[in-house]
Amino acid sequence: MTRRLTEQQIRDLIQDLEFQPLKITVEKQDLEASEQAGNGASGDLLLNIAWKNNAEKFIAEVLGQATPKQIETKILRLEKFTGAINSKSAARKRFNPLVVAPYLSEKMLNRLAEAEISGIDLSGNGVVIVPDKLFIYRTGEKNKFLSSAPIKNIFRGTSSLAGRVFFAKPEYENVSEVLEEITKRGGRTTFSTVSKVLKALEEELIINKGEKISLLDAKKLLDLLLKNYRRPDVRRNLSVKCADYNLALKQMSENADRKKILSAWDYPGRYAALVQGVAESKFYTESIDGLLDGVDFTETSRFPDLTLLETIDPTIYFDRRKDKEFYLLSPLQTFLQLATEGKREQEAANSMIKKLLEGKF
Amino acid sequence: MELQKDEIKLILGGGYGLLLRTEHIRRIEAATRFEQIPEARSTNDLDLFLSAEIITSAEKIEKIRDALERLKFVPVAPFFQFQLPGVYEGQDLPVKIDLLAALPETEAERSLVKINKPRIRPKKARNIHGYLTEEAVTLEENLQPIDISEADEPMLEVYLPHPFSYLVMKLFALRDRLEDEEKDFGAYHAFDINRVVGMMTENEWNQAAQLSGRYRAAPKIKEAAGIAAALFASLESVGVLRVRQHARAVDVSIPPENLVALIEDLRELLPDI
Repeated sequence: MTRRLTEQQIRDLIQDLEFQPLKITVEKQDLEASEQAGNGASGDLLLNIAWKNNAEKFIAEVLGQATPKQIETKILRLEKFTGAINSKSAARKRFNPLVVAPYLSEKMLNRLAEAEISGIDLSGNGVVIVPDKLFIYRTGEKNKFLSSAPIKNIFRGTSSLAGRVFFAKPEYENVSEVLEEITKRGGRTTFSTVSKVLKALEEELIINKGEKISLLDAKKLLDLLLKNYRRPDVRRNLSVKCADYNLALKQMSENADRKKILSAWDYPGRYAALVQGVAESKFYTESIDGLLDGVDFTETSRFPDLTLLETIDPTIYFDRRKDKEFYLLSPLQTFLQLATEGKREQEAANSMIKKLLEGKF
Repeated sequence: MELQKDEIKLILGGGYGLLLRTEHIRRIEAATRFEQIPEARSTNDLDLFLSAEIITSAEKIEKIRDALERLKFVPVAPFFQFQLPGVYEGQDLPVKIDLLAALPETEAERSLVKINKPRIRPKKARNIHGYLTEEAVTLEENLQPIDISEADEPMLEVYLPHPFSYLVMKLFALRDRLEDEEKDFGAYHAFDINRVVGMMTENEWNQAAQLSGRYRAAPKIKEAAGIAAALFASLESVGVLRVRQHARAVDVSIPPENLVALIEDLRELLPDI
């Protein structure tokens, strides 16, 4: 079973850290101030790593969770620290930098190797580097520990609104402004959720939280939204043939306005060129009965004019775009839906990527 | 082109006909029964149906024989299967033509043909005949003309069978291949049945419903209804399993609701009375 570890638990597990054929022993916990580099840089542990008749000292930094941002930060810290301490030490006493975390992905191991910094995780993966002497690289073991972001999944459901909003506007003064923009675009969430999501996005190096909060890696954000995308939970659907199609649309539009019923037209042709025409119009709405009130229709499963899907999924109604009388799904939602359908729809989705990344929808 | 000049109507069925149909549907951006239509499978085998007008006329069928000779086709199964040797990317890739024909509908027409099952030919015709396809009962109903000429070429029209005719023929083909391991247990025929239903336009659906009513008493249509009832009764039926089997093989995902719709549509068009 997976579990998230506290820092103390990680430290305890390090006592029994195994990375064959190396023998790892903890020489010191909590390096004392006198042992620090004296320039603000510091390490957490002093490890001895031995193999055959060799042994090397490693200054290790412990990470509760290895996010891309934390890895980058640790690389900087360790480079600074070991550089400083090695310059003060006698030539024979050299310290190597090392990161310990519950789990290090292959991508992270490669990044560490590139910076010539060792990394060992508690799941059985690692890279151990002593320049000109040793290079061991092992990956492929699954994460044995829970490593999810601070809140369950920041790329799905209501939480994803804080990420999605960056495709509508890529830069904000502060968290409040992000929340304001989400609300303005029809999303409902809290300051606390937005704040947590932004923190996680920062950890993933997707946004930058400097003087302003700005989108750093739109492609990665789009990839992760797609990877985590799930179709909306539709509680009811209805396919109908209308006595008068245009009149039906007009009535539905009036109903939506008058009764304040959320609805969104799934109309990919508005954003992407689709080769195959789709006769029926697909509408998402929070109330099928409310939207169809007064519309003359008959229910049918074959060749309907309209298909209505009833859902209260907040991502469906977020950032809807007004087009004449109706609201359309947002370009991002349209992209996510197309990208998870058939081959031709995926091609249509691909044609939207450039404009999405450039914020031109 | 020459046959067109002689006003000989070419009816293309089989996989290639379906390929043309898929391209046509996409080109005209028609709204179809299922939103997602899988890519058509490519094929070098052409199923060329001979209309009643041709199969009852020695003069017309011999024009087809002469045209095949001029194009260097050689008979493989005398004289209803022909082959043109060809090479594509270093591999032998011959083009094959199967000539097929329905049983003429009227007694008068039948008196003009000689049948020696499975062969059928006009009386007096030499070195050419069709493979008797008795299930092609509705073959010439609601034929769909398609221009297959390239840009800058004069119009070249061939005809595709109506989806209802396709359905009936594909049901027989599936039944006949159901136990044939070499033919993948007929899985691609089952998949084609799904494609034919999925590609129907509303107008074609209405025509199919009419054809179903008109031909309900025809023995081969009744037999097709029996096959549909046996192979497509439920999601667990062997026909549906074959559809899914082929979909997996070609990495196509079929929404479960489409399979349910397929069963309902077959039941409505070919009721097993």
